[in-house]
Amino acid sequence: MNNQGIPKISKQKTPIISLQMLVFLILILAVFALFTFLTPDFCFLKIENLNNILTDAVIPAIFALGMGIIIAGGGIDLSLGHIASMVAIIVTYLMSRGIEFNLALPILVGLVTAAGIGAVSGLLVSRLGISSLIVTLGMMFLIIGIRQIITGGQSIYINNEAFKRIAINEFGISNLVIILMIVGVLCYLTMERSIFGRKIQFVGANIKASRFMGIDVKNITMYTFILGAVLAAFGGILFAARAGAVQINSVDSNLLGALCIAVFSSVLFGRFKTSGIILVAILISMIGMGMSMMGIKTEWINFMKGLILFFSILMAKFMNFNT
Amino acid sequence: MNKYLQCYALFFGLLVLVVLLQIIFYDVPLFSVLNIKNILLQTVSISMMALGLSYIIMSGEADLSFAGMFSLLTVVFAIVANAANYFFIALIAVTAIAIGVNLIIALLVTKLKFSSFIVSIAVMFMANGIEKHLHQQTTLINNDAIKSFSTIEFGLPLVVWLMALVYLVSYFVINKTKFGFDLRVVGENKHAAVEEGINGNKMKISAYIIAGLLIALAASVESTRVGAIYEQGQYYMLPVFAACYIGYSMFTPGRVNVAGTLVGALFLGIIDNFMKMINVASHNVYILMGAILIVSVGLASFKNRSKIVQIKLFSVEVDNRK
Repeated sequence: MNNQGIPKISKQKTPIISLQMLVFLILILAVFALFTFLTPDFCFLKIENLNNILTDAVIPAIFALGMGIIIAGGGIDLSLGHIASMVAIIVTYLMSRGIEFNLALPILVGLVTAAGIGAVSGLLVSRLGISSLIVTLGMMFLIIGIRQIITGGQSIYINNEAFKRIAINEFGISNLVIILMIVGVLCYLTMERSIFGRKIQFVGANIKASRFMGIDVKNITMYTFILGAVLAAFGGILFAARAGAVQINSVDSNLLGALCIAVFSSVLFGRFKTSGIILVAILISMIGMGMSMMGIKTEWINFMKGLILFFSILMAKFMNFNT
Repeated sequence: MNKYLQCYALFFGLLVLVVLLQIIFYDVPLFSVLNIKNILLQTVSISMMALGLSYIIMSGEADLSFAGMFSLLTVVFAIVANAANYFFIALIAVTAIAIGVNLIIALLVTKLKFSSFIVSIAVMFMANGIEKHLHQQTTLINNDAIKSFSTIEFGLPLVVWLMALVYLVSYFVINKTKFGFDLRVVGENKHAAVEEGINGNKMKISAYIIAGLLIALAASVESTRVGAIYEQGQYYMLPVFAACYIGYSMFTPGRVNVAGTLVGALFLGIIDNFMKMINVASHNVYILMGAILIVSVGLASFKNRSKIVQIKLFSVEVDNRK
């Protein structure tokens, strides 16, 4: 057999921890050390504070997982925050109606609504060839209008104790963190360990090649929007359980955090990586917590997130990791 | 014939729609002189921003930063106007900031090859942060002389004449000059631009600077008219985008163009005004606007519907071949 001309495939063993992850862990440790020394009395190190940081990271992380899936498929969704707000309102509204609902039904209704919205955006993007930026911008305003109709613009307080229990601290660590772990494992299995997830990443990386490969490009693109919307809606429901009251726009601003985390992670790791997204979420929640402990006003945290976005693109430019 | 149909069908469709609305709701004085003045005055800021965005889209980039920058600039305008009590100082300050920020974006996009989309989102949220910080100081303009700027009239309000002038100049520049031709070539086909010896970076930077100038003008007009707009920037995002993309599908289908943008902005202004006159709640107006955006872009891209438009986060090409 003449094997000339065919490049040898070197059988390198993949290291347990990649270079990117190593750099990132060092970054997290550096930020951690920085804030430990900057906050008064080392109060950053207190166990309640660390717990808070983890709990704060949960909801942005779930949003970012949704955004990350959409970005991995080559789209963008500006309406994620609004979808989440709307679902949070639908769920709490159904609960506040007081009919003997068990928890599952309102949550199911909410998630199905989100899936429907995601399917509509996905259909428009994949079947009509409209840029996802435009579609989701339009969708955002549709949602702003529709959710106003549901409650007439009023905020809803949650009386259902069982629902609030989702977000309390039962086993020494907040239930939210456990939920994030479950969601993370599910995400990891679908996106990184299944053919479906590989297809999504392939479509995002090279849509022409994937079309020639026989991948159903249109449906895969649509599924990313559905998955993203459902994850965001789930984040919105967790937010409602944690806050105990929902306004019609209370989750909107999570869009920035989600985008920031998802872009940062996909720049750093070059592809969708569940552990990466969760770790970046923890990093950002750490920075936010540290800044507020240092007495910096909350409005600068938004500014900081913008800076992190800049920084992440800068990294993509100058630290071309060979993924 | 088919070509003319493509170019003018949507335009006449919108015209017929507006006329039909007037006929159905005949007791609404949609086309009274006073109301036309009102509509024009309300559309000034949106149409100027849409024109700025058109320049950027024509040069082949995307921009979202105006949503954050616009409200920040109105706040800055109010602060400077209150401190200096003079219109032109505030105008110059706002213009300098807007052009400076857009220049930075342009340099990042052209020299460092950042994705304009991500950069502009980052700028949008940073502007939001700064605006929240500044807002605690002031919102309203106290000086009556500055406030009255938007009410000066020569037949039509002065700012409307300004808008008309800006559009005329833009139309001339884009369609009749070498600069406009080069700009369109860069946006349309960057390989062709390279072959032709056009400096693409220079074109993109100029487009961003023009957009900065226009957004500064829009912010000044809006803050003299209604005062500083606090945290409302995101509500301007949709009309501006919609104006560009309604224009996208008329006159020169498939390309953003000046005349189309103007028609889009005016159409949105008329619809918005009409909805307010028949007492439709504002959230229903949002639903309608969102639907208009999706439908108009859907119509425009219906011909290429088999092609999925992807948004690339990185214009940086990661080259893995060794």
